[in-house]
Amino acid sequence: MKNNFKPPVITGYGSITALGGSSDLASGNMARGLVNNVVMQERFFPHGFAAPCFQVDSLAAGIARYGIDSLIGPEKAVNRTIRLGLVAILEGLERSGLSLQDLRNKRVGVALGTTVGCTFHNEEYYTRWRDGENPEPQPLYTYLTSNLAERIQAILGVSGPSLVITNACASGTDAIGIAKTWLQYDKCDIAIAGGADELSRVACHGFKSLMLYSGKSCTPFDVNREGLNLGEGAGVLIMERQEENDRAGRPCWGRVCGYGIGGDAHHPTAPHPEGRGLQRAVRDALKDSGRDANDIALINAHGTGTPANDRAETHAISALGFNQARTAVVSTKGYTGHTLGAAGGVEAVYALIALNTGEVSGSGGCNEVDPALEFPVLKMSEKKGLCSNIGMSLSLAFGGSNSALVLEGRRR
Amino acid sequence: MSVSIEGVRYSSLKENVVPAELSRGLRRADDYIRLAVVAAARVLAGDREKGALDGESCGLVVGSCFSTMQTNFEVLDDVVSGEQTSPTLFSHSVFNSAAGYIASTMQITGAALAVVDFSFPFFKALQEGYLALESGRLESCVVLQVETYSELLADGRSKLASGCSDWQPGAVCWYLKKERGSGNRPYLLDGLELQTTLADPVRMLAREETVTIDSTTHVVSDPLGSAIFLSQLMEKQEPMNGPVRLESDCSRVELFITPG
Repeated sequence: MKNNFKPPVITGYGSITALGGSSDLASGNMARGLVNNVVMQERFFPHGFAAPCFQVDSLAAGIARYGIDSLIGPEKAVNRTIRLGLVAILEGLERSGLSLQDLRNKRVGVALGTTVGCTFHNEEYYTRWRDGENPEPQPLYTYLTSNLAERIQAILGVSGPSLVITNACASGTDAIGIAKTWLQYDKCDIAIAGGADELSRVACHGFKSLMLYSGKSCTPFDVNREGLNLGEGAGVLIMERQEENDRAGRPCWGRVCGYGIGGDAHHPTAPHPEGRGLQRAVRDALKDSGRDANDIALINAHGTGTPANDRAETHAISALGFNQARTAVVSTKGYTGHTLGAAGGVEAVYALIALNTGEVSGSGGCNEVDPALEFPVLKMSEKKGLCSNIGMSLSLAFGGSNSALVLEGRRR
Repeated sequence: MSVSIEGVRYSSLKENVVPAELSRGLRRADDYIRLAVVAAARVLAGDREKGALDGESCGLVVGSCFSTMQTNFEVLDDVVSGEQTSPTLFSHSVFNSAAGYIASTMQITGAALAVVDFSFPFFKALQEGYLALESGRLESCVVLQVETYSELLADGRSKLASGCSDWQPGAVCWYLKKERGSGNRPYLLDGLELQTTLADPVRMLAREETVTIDSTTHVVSDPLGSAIFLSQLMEKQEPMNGPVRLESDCSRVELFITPG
């Protein structure tokens, strides 16, 4: 164990969601209360059902801005998830001042979470194959070259450890935690970590079948919440050890101070009612960071807007002894939708931005906080100044997996 | 740091018999989940019988090349056919479904992770399990690779990489502990190094991996092959002197395993 390890520095961050094609745009739009979703019908949902999805409409602009097509090359097909991931990563690298040439002289670890991005859901290929035809194999090639981490390493021309974490909705948070461990144990010099996921009608059908999808704009923590909306996007942190950051003179936007993971061992799709695994994850993340609940100014909660998630999560936060006066609890999913494997990455970025600005916007869509929740939550019309630059980002997932990060913003 | 490999288990789908005590919990599960849960139950059987499994300090990491591909296609069938999607089928199609089932069945709450990789998923999972023990987050960890493939994949292989032998669905599972238990001559894992890069799809489907131990090289052609081969050697208590090197098209793993 490396006892003298200092929390890795966040030298860059990037994101793309329906809220904005970059982190700065998203931050501005969130402060203005923009909810940019579109009602989808048969293309995404079963016949007779229509509901909002948070689709990224700025992907083409991001691809053009960073010259992503030329990086990918003319003949190599990649899926939308990889493109979303590349936009976020290249924004993060730009913010860090790291060029691709700089990266090629280093061991660059890439840990990324996804769910949809690693499945083979090409409907045309599948239906033609199922019907006994012999479809062109290009979609199969694309799938077989779409390991998110390795494909991105290949496109960026870098090498180092790589991992695709498929831990459902906690994947992005776990990816950041794993990358922190890689830096701690000297597996890489730079870590690119977070998550990316594209909208999928299979996921829309699936969440609808589980009766977790709201037919209206999602309203996390609201008394009238009816479920989640799906979204797409990517969010990443560029991390390095303190010594490397000092030596290179790169920016420090904050630090990843702690990571924790814990299991409910309860149900395939529902959280433990008391957030048992989440409590474990938060305790472990605080212990890893050397902080306690009183140090935490902000919790960017998982806050999906399903009745069970929001109840369990606020119960856990209350049971852990967070200070109601000091700790602001918000969900950003009312602005982005639930971006599944990307969510942990996106929400870490948004938490970091709030910690650095010293103020957090209330939970998108939440107009009247459910009085039955056991911990107060900031509603959409509210903003709160943060009492410190330390916060947390929480994720809950199918399979009863839960994870938590402790993030520190740069000193104000 | 050395961690103890306390147990190894592997099974093909054909050989996978669900024990009576697990059958109720697995009655709606797909093959992927059944393989995973049975493998984990078997590798943990000794500690569970002795009441020595501490679920709070135990974690699990499930690796796979293709994860729940067949179940995903069954969900896709519902979607493209305009049928009502089965909620159970959808929840089982999520890639960490097996990790969740193992955690619930064995009451493992330390950590549950699922990872995918087309080259060496077992060894990527093993590395994360090893690091979780080294970092002190866990005292023990179950590491698995589970594969069930799909008919579509088999058909694609036959067309793109013709002449290759069929892949056998199955699972391989190792039980790691930070402290050596009372197992019969367990091996020690002293570390591992991985370097994986994206493989050419056709060569990946054709699959040829080499396992080199003590200057002797063995060729395997199944995604589970390398991990099963090493498990068999450990089961027979074969000596392993020096590093074990695994190589595929453009990926390499070096494992440092010594007899305990």
